[in-house]
Parts: sequence; C-alpha cells; structure tokens
Amino acid sequence: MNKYAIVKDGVVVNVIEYQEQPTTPPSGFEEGHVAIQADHVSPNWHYVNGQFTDPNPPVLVEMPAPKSLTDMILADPTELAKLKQALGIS
Amino acid sequence: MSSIVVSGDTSGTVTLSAPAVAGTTTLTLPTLTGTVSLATRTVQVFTSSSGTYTTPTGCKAIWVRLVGGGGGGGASATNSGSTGGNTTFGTLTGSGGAGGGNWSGGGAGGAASNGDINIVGGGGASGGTGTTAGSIGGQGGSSAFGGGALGAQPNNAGFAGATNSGGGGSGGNNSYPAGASGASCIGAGGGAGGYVEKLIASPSATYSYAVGAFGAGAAAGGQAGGNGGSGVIIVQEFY
Repeated sequence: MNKYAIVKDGVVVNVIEYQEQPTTPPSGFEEGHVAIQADHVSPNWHYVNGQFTDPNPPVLVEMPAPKSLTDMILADPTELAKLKQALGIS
Repeated sequence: MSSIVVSGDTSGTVTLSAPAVAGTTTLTLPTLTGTVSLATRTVQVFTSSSGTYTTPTGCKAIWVRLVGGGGGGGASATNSGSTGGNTTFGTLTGSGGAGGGNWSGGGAGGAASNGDINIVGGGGASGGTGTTAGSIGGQGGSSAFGGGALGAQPNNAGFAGATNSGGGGSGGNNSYPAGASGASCIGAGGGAGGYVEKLIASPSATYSYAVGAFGAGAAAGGQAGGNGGSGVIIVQEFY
C-alpha cells in the first residue's frame, strides 16, 4: 500500500492510499485528476515541475541555546545571590 | 397452529401462520401499495482507495459513517507532520486532520460537512521548548472513533494513530528523562479527521467515494513524529 497525491491543475486535492498505481484519472475522480506517489504531502500543496511544495510553510523558530550558569550570573548578578541562598552559602 | 395458505397465480403458495402461543395479537398492514420485505441488512467497509459505490439492488436506505485521515505528529525539531487526506462519499466530507508542528500548537482537527451529524476532529496536544524533564510528547487528537496516539516518552519517536480511526499521530519527544537536565523540545500531536454520519433514504444508484490517507509523521529533526490513522467509510444497507 502506497500513498498517492491526487493532483488537479497543479494542486493536491486529496491524499489516498492504493495497492498499486491507480489509473488516470483514478477511479471515482473526474478527468483532469492524476495520482502521483508521495509520502510526505498534504492536501492544498502545490505540484510544479515534479516537486511538491507547501504554499504556507511553517515558520522555523530558532531554539535558543541553553545558557550556562556563568552566563546567567554575568547577565544578572542577582542570580549569584539566589544561588548562594539555594546552596546555604551566605 | 392455524394457517392460511395463499396460492400463487401460476404456481407456488404462501403460508401465513399464527404463532402457537396464548393471547390475541394484531398485525396491521401499511396503507400503501408495495412489497413488504423481511428486515435484512448488509454492510460494506472501505479502508483505502477511491472508486464508485453502487447501491445494491433492492436497497431502500443506506447509513453512511466516515472519518478523514489523521494528521501526522510533528518532530521534536525542524519538521511538521503532514495533513491527512479527506474522506468523501458523494457530498459527505470528513476532512483530514492537520499535522502537528514542532514546538508549536497541536494540529487542528479536520472539518466535517453535509451529514446529519458532523463532528470536527479533536486537536492534537501542543509541543514546546524548554519543557520540564520527563515531559510527555504531544498526544494525537482523537476522532469520533477515538484512535489518537499516546504521547511519547522522553527521547522517543511519536506513536501512530490507530489504523482507520482517523486519529492523529503523536509528536516526537526530545525532552530529558525525569531527573536529568538540559534543553529539551517536543513535537505537537496531529489533529484527528472529521466525522460525518448520514442516513440516506432512497439512495442514488451510485456515489463517488475516497478514503483519506493518514498524514505522515514528520521525519526527524530530533525525534520523529508518528503517522496519523487513515480514514474509513462504513456503509450499512437496509432492504
């Protein structure tokens, strides 16, 4: 069983599993629909020049690097006081 | 036991028999012209593919239930899950659930339309960054059939939604085990497919149908997300 994008006019209108490559158009669809094997694809994606693209790609968010304890103390000296208090060091 | 035997016009007979029990019962025939049939029922289940459904000969009504494909879970970093396919039967549509993102809100449940009952799929659980050690990954949303994937344990890939439930896959989990420390992030769960239910009296001769595929779980980035559950169509036929 493989996943196929059902494409019409360059837009993915559905994603369906078939045992084998379906006919053109796939059974149950009108003329103009084509089934193209694809695993990672979603409805409403675009299909141009043999490539699937997401018209609304998710915004990539940079994950902040974890701060070291030294960096935190240098950025805010009150952190040193909090650390001393937590460790019982006056 | 008393009986009445009715002879056919050309051949054969029909025997009407009263039950051999005490008491008086009354059977009232409908004030309509037609054929009284014994109650029989058949069922067809479509778990993949697309095609044309043909209403069986003599079928008086069909009860259709369907669900769209579940969205895939997001990876713990970088990649989002795919949206599930739409399940359709004539004009009835259960849309696929959206894929879960990484560090973001869970995938939205799929829409549902044109049924007697239309239930939007459940949303996936959110992911996040800087999560507490021992956090559980974003669970997949459940459809009216259930099937949402459980949240993954720390440092594990997401799980798949139940097959043909339309449930969402869960997000990958890159958090640290309880007691450990360090930066961590978890992927969001995929949304479930929308559910539609309709009783169609006097059905048409044929209907086009398609069963929505599962949304693929996001490839790692950290830990991968789980696949959603594919959709299904259940047609009960009444004669």
